[in-house]
Amino acid sequence: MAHETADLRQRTPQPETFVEARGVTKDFHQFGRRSTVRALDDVNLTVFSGKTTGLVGESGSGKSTLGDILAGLQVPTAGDVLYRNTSYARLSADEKRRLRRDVQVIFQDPVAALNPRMTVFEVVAEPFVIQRSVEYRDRKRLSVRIEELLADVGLSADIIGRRPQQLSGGQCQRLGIARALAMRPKLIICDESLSALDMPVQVAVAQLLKDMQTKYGVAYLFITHDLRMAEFMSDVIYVMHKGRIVDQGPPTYILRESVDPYVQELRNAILSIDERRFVRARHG
Amino acid sequence: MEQTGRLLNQRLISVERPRTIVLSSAIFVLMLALALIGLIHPPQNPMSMSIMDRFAPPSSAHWMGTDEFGRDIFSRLLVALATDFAVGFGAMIFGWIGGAIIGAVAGYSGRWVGEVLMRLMDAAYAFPHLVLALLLLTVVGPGELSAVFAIGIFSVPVFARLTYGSVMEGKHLLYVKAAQSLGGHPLYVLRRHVFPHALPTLLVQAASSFSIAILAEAALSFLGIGIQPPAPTLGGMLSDAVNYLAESPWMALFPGLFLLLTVVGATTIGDAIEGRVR
Amino acid sequence: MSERFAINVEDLTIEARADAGWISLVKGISFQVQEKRVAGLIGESGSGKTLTARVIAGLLPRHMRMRARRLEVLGHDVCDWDRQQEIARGRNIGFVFQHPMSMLTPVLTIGEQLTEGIRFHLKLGRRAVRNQAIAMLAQVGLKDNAEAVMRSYPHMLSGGMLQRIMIAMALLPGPRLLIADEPTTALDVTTQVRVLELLSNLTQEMELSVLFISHDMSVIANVCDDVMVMEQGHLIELGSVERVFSHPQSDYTKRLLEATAWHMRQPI
Repeated sequence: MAHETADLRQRTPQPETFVEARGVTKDFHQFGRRSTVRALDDVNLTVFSGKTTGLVGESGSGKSTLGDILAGLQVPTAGDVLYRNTSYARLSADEKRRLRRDVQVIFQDPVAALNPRMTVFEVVAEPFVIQRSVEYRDRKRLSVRIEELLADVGLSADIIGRRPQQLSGGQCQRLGIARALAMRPKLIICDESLSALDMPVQVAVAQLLKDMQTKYGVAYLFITHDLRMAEFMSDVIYVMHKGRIVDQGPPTYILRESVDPYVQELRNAILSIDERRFVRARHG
Repeated sequence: MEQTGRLLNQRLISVERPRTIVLSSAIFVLMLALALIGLIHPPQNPMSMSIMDRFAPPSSAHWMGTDEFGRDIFSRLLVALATDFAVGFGAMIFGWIGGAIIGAVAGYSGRWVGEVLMRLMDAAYAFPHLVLALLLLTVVGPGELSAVFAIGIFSVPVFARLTYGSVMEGKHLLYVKAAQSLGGHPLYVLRRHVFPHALPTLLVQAASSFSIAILAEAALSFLGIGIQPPAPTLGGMLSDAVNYLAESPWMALFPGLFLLLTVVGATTIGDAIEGRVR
Repeated sequence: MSERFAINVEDLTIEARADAGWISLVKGISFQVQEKRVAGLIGESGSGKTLTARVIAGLLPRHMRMRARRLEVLGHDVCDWDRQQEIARGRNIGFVFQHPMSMLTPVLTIGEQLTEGIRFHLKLGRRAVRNQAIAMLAQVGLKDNAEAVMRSYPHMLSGGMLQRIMIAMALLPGPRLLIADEPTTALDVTTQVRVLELLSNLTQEMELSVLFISHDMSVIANVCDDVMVMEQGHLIELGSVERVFSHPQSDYTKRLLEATAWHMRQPI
């Protein structure tokens, strides 16, 4: 019966598509020269609500460009990007504002992503200022909210008056995450957000990201060159090479079963650096 | 390690602050103070003539002597300083605002708009500035406002170029990209992030433009085109003094000295600003 | 006089001028790098490892000062260099840095930059120098397009190629000591492997002593014989890679190892 099927569908929910790239192509024109560089070539990628999509590629693969396009910071040359099933290009003014609140970015260089002239307080307050939100008009509520966000990311409230140069790389990245979380976004694009951090800090921040996902249900597009980190973070991984998606699937598939030559090359490279002597050295 | 942050709490000093900069900045401040006195309350009436006291050498009554009309040179000098400072500031601000607007628009718009505007600025900059000022003054007629306009206008290309450069550089700053991703409107991003980044360079240029403006005003008044007599100006006083150089050298000495000190002070204060702000 | 140690450091302190006076960034560390061994210097950012390497290379930044009871590189007291020895230093010590562009100028071709260094040190004729450069490029794995590379400018080449060229430049004068500061950190994983292999092979062939700085434990394990662990300016632990990795004595070293092990938790 109809209502029985409906009941069934409710009990096994399909992941909801939040943001999607369809056939996205991006060309860059070299200024003053005839040639163009094709950074992205017919890319299809889906980000599901509340889940983490990993995007793995080496430098020059185009992964950051794709991140920019999904964040609305760049426009594709061809193809379409959809937000809740509506094309970015055809969003109303209201929907555009919603998109800006729903999609945030954290960057690779945590210190450079912060204005050196702004204090910690100002950094986290900025989203409220820009979006002219309710908290912005009430200073007290704003302070409370900012302290909540800092606590969320594991920063103590006594750094509120400091400037980015006075914080470590890990602290700056946590600050970037606090700023990104301010508007309770639905998707955070992590553009190589862990790469510049020391290994123990990478571990801690990766765990923080996971905790935030559990707490707030935020989705991630986790862009990285580190296949192992992608495996830890992601529910599904896309592998990119020279602007094209060469393979995609759950982490176990990518790490063990994929027969794509580039994916294999990636795996072998990691293996030869990581295991060859490290594990042997550790266990005598 | 989070502890690294505490280490970075201290600012590492890498440049010794030379005493010469402190000295020159003091000179500029002194000139500015004298100009203010000239503006508010010069010791004697700069206009009052006295046939009897003509060409008097420096004395206790007239600290820098008198000119060919018996007017007190010291008082005239203070008023002249005030006038020239006013023109200098006015011209510099005019150039700064005009240049900043053009430069910001050029930098933030697409590549072609930027390139075209900058080529126009280059063309304007290539024009010898005094000739341009002369032409403009002939058209609009002499006077204080005209001088500000004529001198200010040749500062515009320099500021435009600098602002353009800073905006172009600023566009690539990561925290500018971050502000954009937060939903910041271009004007907001410019004001809050790009402009403060450009400010140090612009301030240094402001000091430089100021001293150029002062010199230009002196040149124009010397030629008799800028601000008209009997209003005292550094250039005008020098122009008069030239006729009496042998008999009454103090008439040229003091205005010349003040002009030199003002320009040197203004230029080195630019260096001082650069040292502190970087 | 035979030096047993390529690098001999005793009680090295490096200080920088800050608002409140002098602060120590490296605090009285001592270690030796044996000849023909690859010694790794590992630490997180802010540990002082890069500064230490710089001082050994004789490149102390201007606003800092150092003192040491002993600081000998290849048997020579580093504090006592005069002009001749400075030139000798250029020939006997090679450097490889994280960013090739910090050692290469964008306005000259690779060929010009490679040959410039050799001609200065080895006083050979033009043709001989060129051949040496091409031979070196072949040794670093650029045999096939050596000619094209010689004619190119740095901005035309990829990071991996530039890094190989840097290694070629460092090794051309035939040094006995190589100081490599995070040479592969900025490279992709696939390129990293090849460059590390190259470094390993070359150092063995040429019997070089190497001081290898990195923040990555797995890289150290792959390249180094000995390792020194730094934290906040202190030398926490040192010893052979086998000993330190299998039986770390300090909690900090254990933390670093665990983080790296966690990172490679998933067997591929």
